[in-house]
Amino acid sequence: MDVLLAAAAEVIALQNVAMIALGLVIGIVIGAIPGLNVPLAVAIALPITFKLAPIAGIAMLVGIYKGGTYGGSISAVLINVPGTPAAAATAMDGSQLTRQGHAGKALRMSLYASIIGELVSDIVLIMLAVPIARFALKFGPVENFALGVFSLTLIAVLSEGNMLKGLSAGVLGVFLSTFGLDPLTGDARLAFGSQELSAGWSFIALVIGIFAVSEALSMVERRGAGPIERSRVRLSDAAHRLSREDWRHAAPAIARAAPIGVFIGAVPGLGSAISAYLNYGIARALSRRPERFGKGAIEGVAAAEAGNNSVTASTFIPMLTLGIPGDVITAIMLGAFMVHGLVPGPQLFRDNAPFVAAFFVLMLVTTALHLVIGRIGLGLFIQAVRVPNQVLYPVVLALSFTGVYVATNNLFDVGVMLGFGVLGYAMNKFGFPVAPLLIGFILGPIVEVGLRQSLIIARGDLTVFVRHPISAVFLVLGVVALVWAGAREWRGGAARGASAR
Amino acid sequence: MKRHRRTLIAALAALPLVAVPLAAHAADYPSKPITFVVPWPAGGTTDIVGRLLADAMSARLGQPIAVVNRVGAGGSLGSKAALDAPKDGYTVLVTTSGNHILTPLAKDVGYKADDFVAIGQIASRTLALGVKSDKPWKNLKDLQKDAAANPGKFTFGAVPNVMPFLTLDQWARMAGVQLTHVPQKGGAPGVTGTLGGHLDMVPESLSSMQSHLKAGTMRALAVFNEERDPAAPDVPTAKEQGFAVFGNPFTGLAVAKGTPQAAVDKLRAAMGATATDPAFKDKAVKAGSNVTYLDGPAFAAVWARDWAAYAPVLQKKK
Repeated sequence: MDVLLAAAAEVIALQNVAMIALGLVIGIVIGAIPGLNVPLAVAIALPITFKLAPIAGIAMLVGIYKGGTYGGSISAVLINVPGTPAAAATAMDGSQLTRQGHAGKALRMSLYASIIGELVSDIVLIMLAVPIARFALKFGPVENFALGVFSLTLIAVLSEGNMLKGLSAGVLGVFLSTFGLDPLTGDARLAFGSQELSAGWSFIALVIGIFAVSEALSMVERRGAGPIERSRVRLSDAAHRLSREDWRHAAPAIARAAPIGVFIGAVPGLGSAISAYLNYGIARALSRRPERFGKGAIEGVAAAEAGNNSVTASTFIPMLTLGIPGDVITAIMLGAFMVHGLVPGPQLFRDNAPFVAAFFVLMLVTTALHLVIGRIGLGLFIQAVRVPNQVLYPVVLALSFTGVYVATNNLFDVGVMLGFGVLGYAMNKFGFPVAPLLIGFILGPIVEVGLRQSLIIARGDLTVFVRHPISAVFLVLGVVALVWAGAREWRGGAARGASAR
Repeated sequence: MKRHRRTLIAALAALPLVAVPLAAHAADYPSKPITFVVPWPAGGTTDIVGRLLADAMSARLGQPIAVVNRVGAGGSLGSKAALDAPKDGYTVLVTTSGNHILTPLAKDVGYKADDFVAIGQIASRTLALGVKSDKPWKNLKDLQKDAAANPGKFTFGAVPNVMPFLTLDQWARMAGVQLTHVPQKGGAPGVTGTLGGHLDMVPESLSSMQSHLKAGTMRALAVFNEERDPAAPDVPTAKEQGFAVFGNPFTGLAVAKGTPQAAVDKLRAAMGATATDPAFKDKAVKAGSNVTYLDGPAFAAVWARDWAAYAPVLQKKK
């Protein structure tokens, strides 16, 4: 406790607070711009932090990380273009709320759900880092495979009422994920001799194409018409405030999403996009009004955002306790720690206890500042709904082109973005949902690598997936989800049939 | 015709106006930001050393250096990207044995080691064989005995056809045992899998398992060096245990052949000054890499030596 208090005094020094705030602002802006992603921002800021004291430099990186993970939701809500891949789940209901004139509700919920998720994540990191890390290590190839299979079954849950098209989109997503290098042997697959394609479809180009470009194409078709607020939008209007009713729906979703997200963050190699989708799917599966999802359910926004931001502290659990980076961002942060002479791993807690304490306080201070800066930002961001579509979409497209080019350094991926834009447009036109495609694309490699590694280790024995208890639990959950979704679809189909008659 | 000739003369007369700025451009090097291409994932040993070098060299060259990770295909995607970029010295490859020697030997990836010009070697890593500390084996002989009695039972995690894999593979053949290879996407997942008990052992750089060795959660059975590594003086070499197996993956900088000599010289000078700077060495050691600097020509000699050494093994697999 004394150590934490001493650390608090150190962190609250003006320079550190300023660095956190700067990091948050940079992160939120970069996160909100489609194509510019958080790992890029962290990597670019890294050399700058070398010149600062360790805690100040790391403060800035943590600010960028937390702000950037949240920032993606702003553009997802306002213009239906997720600034980060993880925010694609937020776009599903957030953009619908904006169309219905409730942009403020969705923005507020994104912020508050993110902050609650972060806070839970911070507290778990501080109190339970060591036991959680030990448990997360139990996730080997077998467990990752089973978790991936369970998450894939959520495609069925999300496709209720549109089952055939939803499942087709999911299969297409998995298929697209098999392009490029074989993840285990490094041989090119489905590359057709193309050097660029041998790296597979760029995820950033895919997401931006499917959302931003396809949205712009539909806009052209609708001739840009849309409701435009003439006067200054007031966040305090009733339409933009969260009602007690909204919270009643969102609270249980957040309460589930935060701990699930914290755990996903702690398992190396999963990450915020998986957490956002998994939680969005679970929220819909357990909702009392699943028919609202995709049509502006506030709990959909809450689950997705609490899900993606609750990984932001727990990804540091394997990094701090074991020296294992769980994703690209913690990998870069690991570099930052090492450069400052701090070697993460079990002995960090022993040799650098004051630093670890300062890092913990830093996480909490960042979350608090995030609330303040995010809340101030809302009043500004919401004004975007006043921009006419004829102005907004050309700007979004220009940002998308540059964003994809900056992120991948490759003109080929700009073409990929356009191609997926046409695909996304066609999918919307013919009633195919895009969420299953993204889920399939994210989970495909996790399931594939898990399956192949498991079978090498088990020498082809398929029973390994039921003999490992964690894996067995997830597979049972997957079967339950499938039966559940099937039963609801069958009953829903019967009800729709009856009402049609 | 006459008018044409006049145009031609005017054009020729104008040429120096174009050519002079171009020449000045090469001498001015570097006049704009430089990019370091790291063909391996962010956060790995190569990436960390690359970023440290970028930071220190940027101060000496007076230009910012951006570090870009172009990952995939055994490092060949990043290497090819660095080779295909304009040969003006503004794209520098942070190169390793893997993408520079092993990948082009094993596969036809469109480049060879000597398509590049060596700037210098910054580090060569020590490889160790790590096991979780609850395994019964204390040294390579224990492992050899157990593995000989249980062919194919024990697993190891490694990226296929890279130095750690090849080194352990060479040991297994020398020891006459059969181990099961579980392909990994990088070095860190192999260490994680070993710590989690999903894999029995992992050949990896000593630095990536050092914190687990110090914490007592992992044990190193051997290092594959000529001499013991000063960072882990208790771990015997494979050679001491009767197995003459060596593996020392290098990390260094290279540019595409055809880069102006002025740029190569500036880069070599900046790298040499950086690598011999005690402050830099100190940072590198803290980050887990001992600086074993070699200048351009010496680094090129290493390429030639390793290319010749691994060609017989890898080209057979083709």
